[in-house]
Amino acid sequence: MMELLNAPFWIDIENWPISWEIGGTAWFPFLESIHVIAAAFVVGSILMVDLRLLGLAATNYAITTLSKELLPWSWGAFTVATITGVGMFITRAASHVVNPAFQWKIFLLLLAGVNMAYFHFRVYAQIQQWDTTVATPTQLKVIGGLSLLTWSGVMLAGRWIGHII
Amino acid sequence: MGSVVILDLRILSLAVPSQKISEMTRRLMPWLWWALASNFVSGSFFLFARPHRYFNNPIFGWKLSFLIPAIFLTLFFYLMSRREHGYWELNSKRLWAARGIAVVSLGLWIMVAMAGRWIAYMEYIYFPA
Repeated sequence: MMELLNAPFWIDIENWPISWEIGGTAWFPFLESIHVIAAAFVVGSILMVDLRLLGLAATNYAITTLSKELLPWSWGAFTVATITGVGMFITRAASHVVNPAFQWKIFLLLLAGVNMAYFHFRVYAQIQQWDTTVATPTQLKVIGGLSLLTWSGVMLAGRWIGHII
Repeated sequence: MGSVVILDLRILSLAVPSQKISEMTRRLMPWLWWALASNFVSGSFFLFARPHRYFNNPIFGWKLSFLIPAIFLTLFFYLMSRREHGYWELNSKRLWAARGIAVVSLGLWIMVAMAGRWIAYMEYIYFPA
């Protein structure tokens, strides 16, 4: 694993002309700002569904309605965040892959993804029975709480990357 | 920002079509005020820690000049919606006013976030260390 993280490949990425262009100009702060705003959209929309799953907010809306109307925003913003994130990553790829904050962020992102996939592929099919109930079953509460925690962690770790590097 | 942005997007008919503007305003505004208050507290810690960093940074001024109108605009929208049930949806004139407010509000809040982020970059891009 360490060999992979210390591979010269990551330095090569930093030396791509586009990496130099982003890293040495106002492109970097511009991408960063877009990244932060996109992240706010991702977490904002997911948070609303999470709080509904926990039975804490928007309880007069069906879970399926909320998730149907908010998820396209989550994915759209996630795409923007990924593009801008990769743009920033390539400017200092070698330092990022060994940065603990960056490693945590990727780990938490994967965890959030697994949680989300579990919800959509395993639980969503049987959601009709609780769709409009305020007192959601424990299973949904755990999923909502886990999502809330992992995404908060992603944001926190994301902010920390800049403090460590 | 999340709560006010989703409300703006709803007013512009871009998101959550099943929710009503008046109901959303009532439900989301408390979240907004609490989040804004905690932003204010954590933000003032930054300011107290290194006041010269902010008062000598032109972008900080920019941020305030986006933030203050954004807060007043949101407050205005909120107070009007409290005055009368469904205030912003009552007739097409008010709905268009609400849409105008939503566009301006969206722009202002995005610029607040943008300027906030640029405060830190201003130092190394424009001020030779």
